[in-house]
Order: sequence, then C-alpha cells, then structure tokens
Amino acid sequence: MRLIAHAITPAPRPRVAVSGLRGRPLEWLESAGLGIWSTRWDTAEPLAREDVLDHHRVVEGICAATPCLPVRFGTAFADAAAARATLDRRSDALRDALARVSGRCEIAVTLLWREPSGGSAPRPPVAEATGPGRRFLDERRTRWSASEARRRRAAELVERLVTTLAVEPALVWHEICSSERVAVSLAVLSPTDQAADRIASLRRVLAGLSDVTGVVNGPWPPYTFAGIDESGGVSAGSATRLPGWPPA
Amino acid sequence: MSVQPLAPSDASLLELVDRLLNKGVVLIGEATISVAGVDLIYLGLNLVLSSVDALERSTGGSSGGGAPRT
Amino acid sequence: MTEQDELAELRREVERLRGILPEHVDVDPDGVEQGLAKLVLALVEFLRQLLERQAVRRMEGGTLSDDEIERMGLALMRLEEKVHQIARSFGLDPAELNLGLGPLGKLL
Repeated sequence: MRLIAHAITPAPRPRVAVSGLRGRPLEWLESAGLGIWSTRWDTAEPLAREDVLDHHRVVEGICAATPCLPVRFGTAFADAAAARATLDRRSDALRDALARVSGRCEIAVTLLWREPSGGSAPRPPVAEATGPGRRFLDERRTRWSASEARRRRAAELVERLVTTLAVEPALVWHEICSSERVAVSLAVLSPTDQAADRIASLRRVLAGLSDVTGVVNGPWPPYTFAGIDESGGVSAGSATRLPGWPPA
Repeated sequence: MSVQPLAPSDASLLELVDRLLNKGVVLIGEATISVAGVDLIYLGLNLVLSSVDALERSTGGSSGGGAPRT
Repeated sequence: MTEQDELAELRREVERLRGILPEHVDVDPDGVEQGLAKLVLALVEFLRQLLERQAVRRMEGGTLSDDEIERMGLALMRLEEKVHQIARSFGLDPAELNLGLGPLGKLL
C-alpha cells in the first residue's frame, strides 16, 4: 500500500470537491496543524502517464478550496505514519511556504523563437584551402556567437516581462534558452484576484513581439513557489539545470 | 530534433508537465519511494531525470493543453 | 607554460577523452544500461563542449598558427563523432546528452 501525495494544506480539513487519482477517494491525513491530501495506491500498480495530468486536476481542485502547496508528482509515502512524520518534521518550513502562496496563484509564460536557431546567421566567408578542422572550429564560433546573441535577447525579453508585471523579484522565477526552441520560461506568483488582469497584460506584451511567439498559462496552483530547501527554508522552485551550464 | 513549429497548446502542455514533474514541494529523505512506472532519480547535483521521454512519445503533438480531466 | 605547451596539453586532453571511449560497444537490447550510459555520455559531452569553447577562444585570441588550429579542430571533430557514435549505439539521440537542458529542452 502506498499513499501518493498531491498537496499540503492547513488544518482543519477543508471541503474539497475533487476525487483522487482515477476517481479514487481523496484522503486527508493531519498532523502539526497541517494536512496531506493523497490517493491510496496498490504497491504493485504502476502509474501511467495520464496520472501526471490527473494529479494536476486533483491539485487544482484542492487549490480552489484552500491555500495549497503542490507536492511533486510521484512522491509516495509508505503509510500514514510516514506522512504524519513528514508534516511534523517540516512543519515550520511548510507553514512558511503556505503563508507565501496563500491567496496567490501561478501564471506561466513560455516564449518560443520564431526562427530556428542559426537559421539566419550569416556564414563567414570560407578562405581558400581551409581544412576540415578549421571549418569545424569556424562553424562552432558562428554557432556560439549566435547563441550568445540569443541569450542576450532572451534576457531582454525577461526584463520586459518583469517590468510589465511590476512585482518584487522574489515572486518571479525564470529560465532562458533551456532548449533550441525555448527562449524564455517564466513563472510569477500573483494574488489570485489580480491574475486575470496580469494574464491579459502579459498577452498584450506577447502580441507585440516579432521574434518570439508565446503563450500565457494560468492561473495554476503555485508549483514553482512551493519549494522548501533541505534545511527547511523556503525556495522558489528547483532548477533542473546545473548552475553554470552552458559554460561561458 | 524536430524542426516542426510548436503549437501553443503543445507549449502549454509541455510547460505544465515541467511543473508537474519538476516543481512542487520535494520531500526527500522522508519515507518517500518511487512508484512503479515513474522513475524519479535524484542525483547529488539535484538533477532530476524522469521518464519524461515516455511522456514525450505519448503526448508529442497532442492537443488538449492542461484541461482538467473529470 | 607557453602558449604552445598549453595548446599541446589541451589537444592531449581531447585525444585522451576520445581514447577512454571504447571502440566497440555491446549493447543490452533491453536498454537496462541505457540510463547509466546516458549519464556518463552526458558528462563526456559536457567536457567535450567545454574543450570546444576553449579551443574557439584560443583561435579567436589570434595566437595560434593555421596548422595548430587545423589539428585542434580535427581532434575535436573526431571526438564529437566518437561520442555521438557511442550515444547512437545505445539508442540515444546525441541531442539528448545535453545535461543543461531543462525538461522542456528534452521534450522538444
């Protein structure tokens, strides 16, 4: 038996209108003034890819009812005692994180380059009798100066979005150039009652950009702002990139 | 890598999946275990390699965004 | 250490990196080792790209002869071919080896 965790919310147990994964009962376990919502799961039963989006449905339903910290998908407890022990051990950090997200939601912006990378970079003139080794290094140099130009542009775009949002930096997370296609991935923690206006103004900015196409999503549960670090403090999201990559 | 243009709904879905698999509070060190079918490998560098590839093959190009399921 | 010495050492590092990779790989078709291979190759790829960037900076610095540039470029080119060939023999797309890519990167 396992308990697949979805979210942590303050006690006492609020009324929540959604079921657990695959329509199974959503369970509540409480300790230290906090509760964990989870779905009971048979140990032998594998999770399917649809369960990832189903977890989102559950988290959204919980967030609609109460301040909520989404738990990373796939986190499972061996039993109720293990879940309660976690709440006890991390109660201070979890309470801080809940205070941070209370009354707020996440808005996500994704900007994609319109042109494939390097597509429009001019090729340097090839000198006569240039060997393959030299051509290889020349091609690399061109590629990186193009990607560096992209990084500068992506940073500009982030500045533009942050200016539009006019919020304190701690409420914004972003990542630039996480792939060939993605210029900017950004998340902002916004008061829920301002979300619609913020989304509209972000969409207006996006409509005016010619070198990227973009999409604004939300309001979402505060996935990116639910983090607590190892020592129990609060952190914004958790990057999956190595710091310092790509090497300068 | 594919050079097809990415539809906004695809970008939305991918952004959502990124949230679901890589964000949210992480409760490492508790009695947490990976559940069969979803491999979450936490390396010392906080690199998370998940079975995103399997998800990619199934959701690549699909529409529907992050609409909640009933 | 002179420029030439540093360059010679850089080239040796590149060739050594290529040398530690096996000539031929027997791959478990079930892909059980694929996850580990991916991690190891990602690290090699990381180092390889670091060396490439160093070489380009050297070249831009204008202190290398044409011959040195050519030999450096060839060594790096062969190393890239080798790493990518090994990745493919594990059923991996070389583009997957970039550690720095976030999940959106992997999915695109």
